[in-house]
Amino acid sequence: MILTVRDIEVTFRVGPLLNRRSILAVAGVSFDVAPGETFALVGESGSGKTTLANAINGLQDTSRGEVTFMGQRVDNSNPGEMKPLRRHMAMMFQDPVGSLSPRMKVGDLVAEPFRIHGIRINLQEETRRLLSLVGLSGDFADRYPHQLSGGQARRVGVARAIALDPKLIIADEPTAGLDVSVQGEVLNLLNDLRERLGLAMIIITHNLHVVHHVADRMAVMYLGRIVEAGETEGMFRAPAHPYTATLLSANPEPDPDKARNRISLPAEVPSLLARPSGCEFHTRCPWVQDRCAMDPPYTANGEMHRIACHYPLAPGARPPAKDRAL
Amino acid sequence: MSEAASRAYGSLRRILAEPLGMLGVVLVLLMIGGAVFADLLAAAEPNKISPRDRFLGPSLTHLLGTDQLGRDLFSRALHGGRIALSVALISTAASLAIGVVLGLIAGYGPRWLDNLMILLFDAIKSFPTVMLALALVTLFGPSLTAVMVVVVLVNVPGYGRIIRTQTLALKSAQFVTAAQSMGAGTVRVLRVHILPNVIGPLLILASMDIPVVVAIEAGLSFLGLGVRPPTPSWGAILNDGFTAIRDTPWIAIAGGLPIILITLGFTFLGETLRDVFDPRLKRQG
Repeated sequence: MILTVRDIEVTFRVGPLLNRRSILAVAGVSFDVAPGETFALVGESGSGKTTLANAINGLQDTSRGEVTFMGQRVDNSNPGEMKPLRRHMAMMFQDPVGSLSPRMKVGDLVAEPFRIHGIRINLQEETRRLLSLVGLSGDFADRYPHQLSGGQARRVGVARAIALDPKLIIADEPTAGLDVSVQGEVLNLLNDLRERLGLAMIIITHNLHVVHHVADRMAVMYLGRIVEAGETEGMFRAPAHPYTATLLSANPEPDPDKARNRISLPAEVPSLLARPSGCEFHTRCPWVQDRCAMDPPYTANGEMHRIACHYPLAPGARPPAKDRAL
Repeated sequence: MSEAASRAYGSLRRILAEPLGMLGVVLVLLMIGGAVFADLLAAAEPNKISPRDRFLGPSLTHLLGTDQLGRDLFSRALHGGRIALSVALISTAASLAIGVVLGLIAGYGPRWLDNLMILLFDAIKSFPTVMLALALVTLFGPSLTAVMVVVVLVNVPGYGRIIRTQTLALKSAQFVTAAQSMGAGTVRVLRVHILPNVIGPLLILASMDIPVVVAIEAGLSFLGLGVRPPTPSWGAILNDGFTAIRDTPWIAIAGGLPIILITLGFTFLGETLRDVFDPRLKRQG
């Protein structure tokens, strides 16, 4: 395993001084990433995906648990200890243009990882090589970020991420803000690079098409917890957790003739300040039963497939008719 | 580098295209030229006393006349420009350097350090400039250094606050987080990613502060708290002329006119810089 995440929690303290409350943004998450594998973290906005990524990257302190990268603990480590490991772990951020320093030229942006780690090579040559690897001509080296389109900026972000030949790339919403054709290009680029360079990837997204396209395994997050994790193919075919089933049914289908079996969810996402009792999804679950509001669900810890639900769904299950008025 | 040169040339053209900017550039260059080439332009020694030539009016030999000790006022005004400009440029540069560093520390550092800096800035700001100057000069004795220290103390809080606010805004920008995730240290983040994005407006403000500094130096010298006589300073010349203003107004004019010209010059230049490069600053005034 290149990355092991064990039961990590991230707590934020919010509110005024005298009424300080802590919220659990990531509430005990565990997963592994094998070398060369693509792992997807899926969930609604606010489900703690980005916080989790930052915690793995050491940008965010954790309040519990362990993150081990290449055999070394990286949670809550100081920047000096972490720096050599950062060569092997690259991050791509949500906003393609916003993650590029506005007063730097593309050439300098791509060369930056080498400068940070004091690697002496022919930067100009290397920059050109990296730009061509992501499908940009060498002329781009002289441009400023504001002169790039979203897709071009994303490619520059990819070039920066792969510059030091990392073992793991964490990509936060790699397709956000791009139109569909460019999304496809970027995904193909990532897939292609992964095969060529043999790197592992964590993709954080709410776009299920992306997940289906690139991920080997996936985990679905709800309120900072993983509710279901397993092989992508299997989960798309037969989601076992009601929340996964709902997410998958809400995924826009490009084929208009295909029957839509959308499961709609009642109520809002609960506030992290007031987590529901028992199974935290019970306030919205179409299959909810009495026990769900009381017992936190046992996490079925199968070898490949984990589900946090008392009553996992059979393949193709439909929600029961609504006998309760909402 | 040729690209930088052509960009600088382009900026200069944009400034010169504005009538006010043109006037500002001309005035500033004139004053700087006068100060730099003072020895060539004025034949007379600025401090040479000749009692026989006291209170002479402007003439071809003494373009601005002479003062109560018979010293050539044209020469004294040009040499006074050296003092005024070097005080202005050195102390503004020092204020910028200190203000930028403190502002970056306050904006990027931990919360308690930020609060400490703000307290420091506010404490300095709470003294009226003149009181602060009087206190410091009483403490250290009148000298050019004391004047510069006063100017730096007066300017640093303002510069520091501007840099702090902008740093605070950029601290959590995604490109800063991106640099951190690559392993960039604090110094690199501040120098490469934050500084270039916060320094622009400050340079414009600093150019508009130069006339203020000139006025502080002249004011302190006028009060006898700046340079020691007989060193020529515009404020000191003004003071010399002040007592005899009814009979020989040219002495006060020789001290006052350059102050007016340099103030106008830098103000026009600064305002044009602001309008051309950062129109957003216009309203804050």
